[in-house]
Amino acid sequence: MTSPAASIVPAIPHGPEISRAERLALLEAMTASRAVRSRVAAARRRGRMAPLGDPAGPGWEALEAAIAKALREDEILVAAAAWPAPLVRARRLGARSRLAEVVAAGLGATVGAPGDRAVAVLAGPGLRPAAERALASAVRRRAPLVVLVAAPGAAAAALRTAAGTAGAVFEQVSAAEVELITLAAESACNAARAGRGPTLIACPPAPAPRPRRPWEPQEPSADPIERYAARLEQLGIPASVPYAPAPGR
Amino acid sequence: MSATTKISYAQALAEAIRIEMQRSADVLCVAAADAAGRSPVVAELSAAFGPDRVVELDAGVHPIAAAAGMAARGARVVCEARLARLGPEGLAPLAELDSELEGAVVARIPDGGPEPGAVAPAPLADWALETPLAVAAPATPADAKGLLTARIRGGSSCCLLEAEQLYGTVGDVPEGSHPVEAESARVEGDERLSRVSVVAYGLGSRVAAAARDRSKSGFELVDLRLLRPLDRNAVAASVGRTGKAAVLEPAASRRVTGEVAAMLLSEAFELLDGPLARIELPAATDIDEAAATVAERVDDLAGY
Repeated sequence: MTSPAASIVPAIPHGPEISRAERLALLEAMTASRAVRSRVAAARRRGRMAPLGDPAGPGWEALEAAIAKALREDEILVAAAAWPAPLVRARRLGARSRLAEVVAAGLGATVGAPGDRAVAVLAGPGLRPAAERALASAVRRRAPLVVLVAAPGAAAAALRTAAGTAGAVFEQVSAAEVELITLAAESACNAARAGRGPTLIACPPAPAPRPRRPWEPQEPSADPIERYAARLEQLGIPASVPYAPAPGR
Repeated sequence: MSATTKISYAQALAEAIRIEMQRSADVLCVAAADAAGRSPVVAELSAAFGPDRVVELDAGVHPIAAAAGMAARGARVVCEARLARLGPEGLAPLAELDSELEGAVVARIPDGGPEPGAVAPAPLADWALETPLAVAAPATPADAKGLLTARIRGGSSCCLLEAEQLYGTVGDVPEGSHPVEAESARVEGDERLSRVSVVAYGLGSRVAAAARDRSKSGFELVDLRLLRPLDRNAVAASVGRTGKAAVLEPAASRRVTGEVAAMLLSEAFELLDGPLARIELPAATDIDEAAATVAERVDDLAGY
């Protein structure tokens, strides 16, 4: 069900060619991820689950849906425990694992792997110098690594600097645009499979729409699911799955 | 009884890893680049198996996390890591690693006393017990080889605490492959009447064994071998025979004492004739010096 207020979504110029079925699959993937996150949040409110950190909250579903589409079946996703990642079997590390450790785990997963298999890493923010060293090591080994990082606040700028220092390819894509993240992830995975080394993709959240006066146009929602459902509606593809909007959006 | 050979603790570890790496191509060895140079165990293996099987990571790359990534691909990884430098959350990457995976990590944690610049030695046993992993602390070369072989072959990820002061100690080790499924502690009685049960692990067990010759009283030594799962039955049975218990543990660590105390209070309180004692093992200990101190403490506890 799309919010009528979220109906105006700017078209993506030079957007990727994605079929109708793939678009609906992306929306369903994000919806499934949101459902898991809602259950996690409910369990946390009841005291039945320890706090897992930001990536477990709503708003990052597009990263999971995009990487699930970009990876092949025989490729590996390494994620900190905070990521629900319901549609792709992630190898999870401990909840207190930081970005540096998750990148190191991704680097380890590339050791001994066939050269044309990519390894993806899903991580939250928490940049340390050790993450730069792990990334530099991956660049030196030309590891087939793709690192997607949820980057709220000033984390994206810090990640850009870290990638530059390490010599890795860097991309920044809004966490609210699932098709752009999918395009970036697929491109990075293809580059990794071709032996061109690792890519770091930082995904900052979209700014929340400002309160509008009645005569001002509605700004698009910052929630990736609402935004994408609105885009599909513009394209004449009705959303086939119900979803819950992110609280507070 | 298989033939035995006298080799050192470090040689026993290297032999266990070498045999398992020869047995299966899925076994990998990981070590971090270290300004202090390679450990004797890794140096020997690197020459034999090459960089594809013995992976030496660049400085600053978290070795345990990298090993977890390799295990995610199905490898059984032996990882040497200086946990004192990684900090109390150094083992966090292993905490959630899917137990259904075929791969696993055996984290070898050398303990060489306080790190340069550290105010106090790190409580490595406590940090390892913070995680849900199995924790082993072999005291003899035979146990080191056997426990390491067993953990490399099967089971989920675990930690192996190694006291570097034991690396040069020599003992009889069965030749060939010799996995030890050490669910139980090893209890060494004394021909004299034992009045105290000394519970120890790792270096503490060697010190306690050396203290037996110096003490006036007899005591039973309970070498835990595994800190998790703790062999509660062996500890309770020994305390049932002697009536008093003491835990020999490094000064910085507290957790094993706490677990033994909780177990005795809840399951074997009526067996105790006195309170549980804790004997501190100083860091960077000379075994003979520490044995004299331990012998005195045990004699005090026994009433001598």
